[in-house]
Amino acid sequence: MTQKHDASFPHPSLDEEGSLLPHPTRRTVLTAGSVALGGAGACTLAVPFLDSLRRTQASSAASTREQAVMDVSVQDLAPGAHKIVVWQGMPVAIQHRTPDMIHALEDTALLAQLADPQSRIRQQPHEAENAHRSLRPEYGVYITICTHLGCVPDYKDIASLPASGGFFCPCHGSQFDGAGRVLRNMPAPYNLPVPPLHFVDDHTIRLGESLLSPHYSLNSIQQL
Amino acid sequence: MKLLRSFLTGTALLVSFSLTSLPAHASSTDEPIVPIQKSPPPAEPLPPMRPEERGLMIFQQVCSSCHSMERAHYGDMIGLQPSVTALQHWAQQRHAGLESPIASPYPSVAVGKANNGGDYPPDLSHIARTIRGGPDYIRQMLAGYRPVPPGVTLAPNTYYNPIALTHHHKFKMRPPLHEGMITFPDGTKATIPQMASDVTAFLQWADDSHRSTRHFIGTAVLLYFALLGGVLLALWRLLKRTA
Amino acid sequence: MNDNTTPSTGWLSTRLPFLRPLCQHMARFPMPPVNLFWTLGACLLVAFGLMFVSGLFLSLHYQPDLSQAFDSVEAIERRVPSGWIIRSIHTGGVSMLFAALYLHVGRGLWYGSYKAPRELVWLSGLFMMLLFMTTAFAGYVLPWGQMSYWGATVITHAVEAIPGIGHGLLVYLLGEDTLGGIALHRFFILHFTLGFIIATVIGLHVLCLHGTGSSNPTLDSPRPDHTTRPFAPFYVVKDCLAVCVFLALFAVLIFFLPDLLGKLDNVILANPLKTPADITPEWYLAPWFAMLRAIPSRLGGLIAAAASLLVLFVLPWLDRSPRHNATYRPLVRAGMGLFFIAFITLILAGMHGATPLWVWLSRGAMLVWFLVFLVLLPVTSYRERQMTGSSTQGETS
Ligand code: HEM
Ligand code: FES
Repeated sequence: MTQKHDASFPHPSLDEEGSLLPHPTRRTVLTAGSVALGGAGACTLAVPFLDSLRRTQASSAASTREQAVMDVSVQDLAPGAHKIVVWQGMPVAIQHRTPDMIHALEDTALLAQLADPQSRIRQQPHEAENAHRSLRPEYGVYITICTHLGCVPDYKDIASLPASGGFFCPCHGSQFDGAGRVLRNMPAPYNLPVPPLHFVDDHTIRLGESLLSPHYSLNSIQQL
Repeated sequence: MKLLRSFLTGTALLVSFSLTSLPAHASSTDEPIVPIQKSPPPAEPLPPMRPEERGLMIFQQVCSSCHSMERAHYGDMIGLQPSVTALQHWAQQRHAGLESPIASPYPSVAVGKANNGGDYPPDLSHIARTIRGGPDYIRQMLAGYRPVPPGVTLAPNTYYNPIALTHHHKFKMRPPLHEGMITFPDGTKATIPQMASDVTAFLQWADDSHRSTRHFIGTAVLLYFALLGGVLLALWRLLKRTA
Repeated sequence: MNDNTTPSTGWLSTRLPFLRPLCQHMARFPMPPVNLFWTLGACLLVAFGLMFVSGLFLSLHYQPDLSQAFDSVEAIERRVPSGWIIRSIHTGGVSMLFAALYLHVGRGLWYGSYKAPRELVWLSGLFMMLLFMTTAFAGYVLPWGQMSYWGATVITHAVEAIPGIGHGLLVYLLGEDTLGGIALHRFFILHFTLGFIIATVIGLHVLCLHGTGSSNPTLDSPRPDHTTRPFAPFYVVKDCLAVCVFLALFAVLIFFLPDLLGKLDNVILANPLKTPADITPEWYLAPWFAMLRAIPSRLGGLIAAAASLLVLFVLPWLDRSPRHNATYRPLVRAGMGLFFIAFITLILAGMHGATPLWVWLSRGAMLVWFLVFLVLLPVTSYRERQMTGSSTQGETS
């Protein structure tokens, strides 16, 4: 049962007991065989148990299809007002901007404070890579899930620049501007994501479907 | 050390073997169903369907207009109908989703009774197991409607079926199956005995959907124990002599 | 297994100093020449392990709520990936476990394993058996099918038979007047917690056994065999072989005969307004159900069923003969044989309707049960003690 590797290494076939390819006894073979078989069986037994933690087939199919697209009417939003809707289980903030707010988003004092003022990092579809980070300047639509560790930021203006509006995360204090752009030196590394969307008509936003970037989805952004 | 090494390689081998030998789960390919009206070129063999797959079609088009199958969800039928789109379409027609139970079409028991001569159509979730006579009864009863023999008078909404269990052959379920009422994509002719047998297969599946997988895994498990038992027996007999 | 310390084992045993002595104790544990019945303990350990793990995974999907319990079980069967395998391990496992348990206890009765110095092994085992019966009963309520509901209703109402406080106690235990959501939640917590309690009692049981060692079935034979073998490797392999056969039977049960023991009516949601045609318990609780039915008075039935279990607890003191093995005690052999037949009769009686035939058979079986333990064993052991006392001074094992 014991091997003497070092002594036998240079002369593999010199002596029976210490040869490089030892002649295993019947007992060793049977023991190793049963241990291997038993271990394999135990591992296989674990398969159904681990499998049961998977989500069910129909529920994954249902969640990707049934709630993928959602129409939101913005008729009730007066300029300056905002609302939160839930899309695919995520909070989505929709704001109706006043001309002042749109203007404030281009304020150089603000842009100087932002981590990614030009929206270069892919957190939005191409059609929202603009000064107001949205399809139409008067409507901003952002998924309010903090890019730091996933808390939900609430509305709160930037203290020094209140005009643009903004979001503030209560967990570790990340501050975003009114277009969901994160300020420099905040715990959150990226801007708030923009969902795929387009306007069905002037008062209806369809979330979950982008006409101009059909391949844009939350799987393709830098970080949710 | 030697032991450990052989253990590891043995385990790796066997796990990979046993994993691949497990039957693959029904793949969720979502191609929409091909409309069946286009007559296929005759040379090409039609894709074969399992009886329970045809049975699902019959259930969808016939039985479910009166019966519920409340323990099952629309989405559970993915084992027989791999197209999520088709299932979703079916569910939506009935104002439900993939994750809703296949409910009774009647708003209340009273309405269900009123529509069926006073008997409420029973839930079909486990009917193959719970009804007296089991699947054989269901198969024969569905094909068991006969013309009314002379001397027997039937109340309105009552049908003559000598196989049926209730009301002494004066059955309250109107004959559900008619020759050629369904076009099966695999070309099977929709005769009444054929449909009765297919829909029974479906009801058995609905009651116990894992039957074939269960037998497959069971066989694999028994083979495994035969192998392990053989090795252990050899080792035991060896040790009996020596240790 | 290797005795000289190699660096790789040294690291762990320096840091966990008890590990080496423990392994050595287990490996070298001297085993008398025991027969195949002594492998049932190992089968029980494995069966319990499977019950425990499958139970944990089932409780991840089960909802102990009146309106959701039944559906959550249907979801496990239909939707949870591999859920049906896990559930069949758990539901089939009960029967396998109880079968092994009763054989294990039967082994103890036949070979006199309950005697000094193994009283604590016996008592801890019996205590565990009571825990198992409670756990199984509580677990059977959880799916909230017709049989769950009505079985639980019938058994909990046995509590009402206790004079004076019966009804109050029942309402206290159920948390409301009838079996409902509160009781279901209690049954779930009871069932879940008992698994952990049993796990510790199993530890205690094996600990007690390792104090005294296994008994030697050959001692009373004309040619006693005093040789022992270390537990490893021979008995390890023997136990593994038995477990292998046990698990193969387990697999046949759950993969090929799942309906053999299942009750039809439990796939129907509990309906408090409609009692199913015949309420019968699962086979492993049937003997005591038969006893409840065999005695016309409710209280009497309750007392008889409880006494049938309690009498097992005092067995070590009822039978104080130095002889262990029933094979070599003609009267005890006949008595134990009768007892086993009586036990099987009671199982069958409990699973059949209460026809006069079965009721009288149960009464006969109960009579055998009490006569064997309360009369036959004390009398024969008294005689045997007198005989051995005169010839040799009592030998113990
Ligand atoms: C799940 C429950 C149980 C487990 C896991 C278990 C486990 C074991 C194990 C591993 C052994 C040593 C191997 C053997 O002798 O078979 C043993 C021995 C024993 N058990 Fe159990 N046991 C259980 C239930 C019981 C019950 C219910 C009783 C009695 C009412 C009992 C009484 C005994 C006795 C008396 C011995 C010593 C046998 C002898 O050496 O003569 N056990 N048990
Ligand atoms: S999660 Fe928002 S700042 Fe940390």
